[in-house]
Amino acid sequence: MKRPVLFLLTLLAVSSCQVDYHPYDTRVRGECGINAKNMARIEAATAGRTSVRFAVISDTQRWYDETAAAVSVLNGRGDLDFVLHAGDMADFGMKAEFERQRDILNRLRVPYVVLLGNHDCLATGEEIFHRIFGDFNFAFTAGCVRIVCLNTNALEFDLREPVPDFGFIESELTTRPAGIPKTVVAMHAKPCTEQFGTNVAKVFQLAITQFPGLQCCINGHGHNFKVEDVFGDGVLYYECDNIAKRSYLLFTIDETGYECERIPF
Amino acid sequence: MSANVFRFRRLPLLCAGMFSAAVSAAQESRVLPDPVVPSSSVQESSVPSSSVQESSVSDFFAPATAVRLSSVPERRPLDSREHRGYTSWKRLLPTHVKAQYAGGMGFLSVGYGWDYGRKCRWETDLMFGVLPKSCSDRTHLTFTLKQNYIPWSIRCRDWLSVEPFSCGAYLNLISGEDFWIREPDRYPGDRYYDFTSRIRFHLYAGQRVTFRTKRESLLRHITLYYEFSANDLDLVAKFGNRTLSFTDIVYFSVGIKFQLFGMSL
Repeated sequence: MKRPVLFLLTLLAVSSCQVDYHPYDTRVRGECGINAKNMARIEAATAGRTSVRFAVISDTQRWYDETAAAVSVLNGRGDLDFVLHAGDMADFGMKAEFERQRDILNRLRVPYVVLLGNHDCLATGEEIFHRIFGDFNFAFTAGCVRIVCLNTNALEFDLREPVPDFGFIESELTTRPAGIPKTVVAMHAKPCTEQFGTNVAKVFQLAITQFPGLQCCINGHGHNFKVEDVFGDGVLYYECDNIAKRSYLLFTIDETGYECERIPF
Repeated sequence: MSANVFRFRRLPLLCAGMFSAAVSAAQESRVLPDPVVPSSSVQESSVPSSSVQESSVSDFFAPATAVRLSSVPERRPLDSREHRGYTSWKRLLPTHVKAQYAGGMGFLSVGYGWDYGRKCRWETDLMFGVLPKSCSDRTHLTFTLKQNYIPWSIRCRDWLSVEPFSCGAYLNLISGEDFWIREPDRYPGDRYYDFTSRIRFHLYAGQRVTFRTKRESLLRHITLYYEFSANDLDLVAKFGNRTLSFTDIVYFSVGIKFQLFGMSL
């Protein structure tokens, strides 16, 4: 009598357990290709709108409690169109970190997109990020504004890939849908940081200021809320707190311009 | 995450089930007479018919045997692990070979090791694993140094023992240029990331069941084991996050051990 019960218990336990080949293996469990799906949702929901509102969170690595708290706070608002994560979901680039963060952010009622942070590139992190979220450079339209998200973690790519990718910026300039009057550029590390470097900082600024109606830039990486006119040309860089500071940025963009507010929770 | 919590609810049940089955089986085996031990009447009746030299030997040993056997029938202890014929240069030979599935040391690892200490409670293994391309960005090899502690072995049948608890720690090293022990020189300062991606430290706890083979054969016994392990980075994350439960960071693995030399049961 005991043996079949024991055998069944063992079988049940074994069949339902998670196994780990290696913390850095790339066998992703659960949803993948999230950015593409969510960009389509955002574009569909905000099509033709002249005003959009979105929240920015950043650097959620290893702060699962705070990220979960942010998700409940953002879910409590009824006025958001989407949430933008400015990078650094993982602290060590491990697959499980991405999966846990994705599972928390999947509880958001509104769609979200995630940028690549420097910590997300560690070990096999790049590959895992690419599977779960998608391309490192991407752009989408939210009502009246084009959100251009760029990989600026030059130090991590060490000349393996062009970072920042001026080819992508150029193609975005030429192929962006007509009739979108405004642009916001988002990135993880802003120009002149140790990740971005200084070599192409001015050229990068020259390139992104070609976008029609550039409102401002959004970045993370610094872990401290800061508004800085990096190049003295009037283009403001809004640096989002890390999530441990329990705050998010709220952006409202309409015909009159844009508004940014840091909201603690 | 909530799904993961649900997955592990059966674990305590399984452990308790296995332990109670082992104890009850051991109790049953106490009742059975041991066929190896001769009865006192046979021993005593053989003494007078033997030669002088033999009788002097039996005089020397008989009283103690008689006293012991007449009071309580002799039993082998429940935990009868010991080394037999494993002395001098033979101690250089590994006592066992192992194969393990998962556990953060690759898809499959094979290795060998030595058991030692009182009741052979300690084991040290060297294992070599592979993380195939299908599970990662490319094929990686892993090397593991594993230390095990198996405090108890309960003999349930002549052919079966259960080790209700085993625990230990292991260091795992993975090959590949994406991983580093000391961070590359391109990063500013000495502690830009301040961790090593190449080496992971794991803690584990598990259970084992051992099947004995014929005493004369090279293969002394076969042990099946399972383990629940967690790595250092996940443990660090766990202690900073209330919402991250132990079931989120614990992974299942199974293995088989072939005992070749040394220990007999």
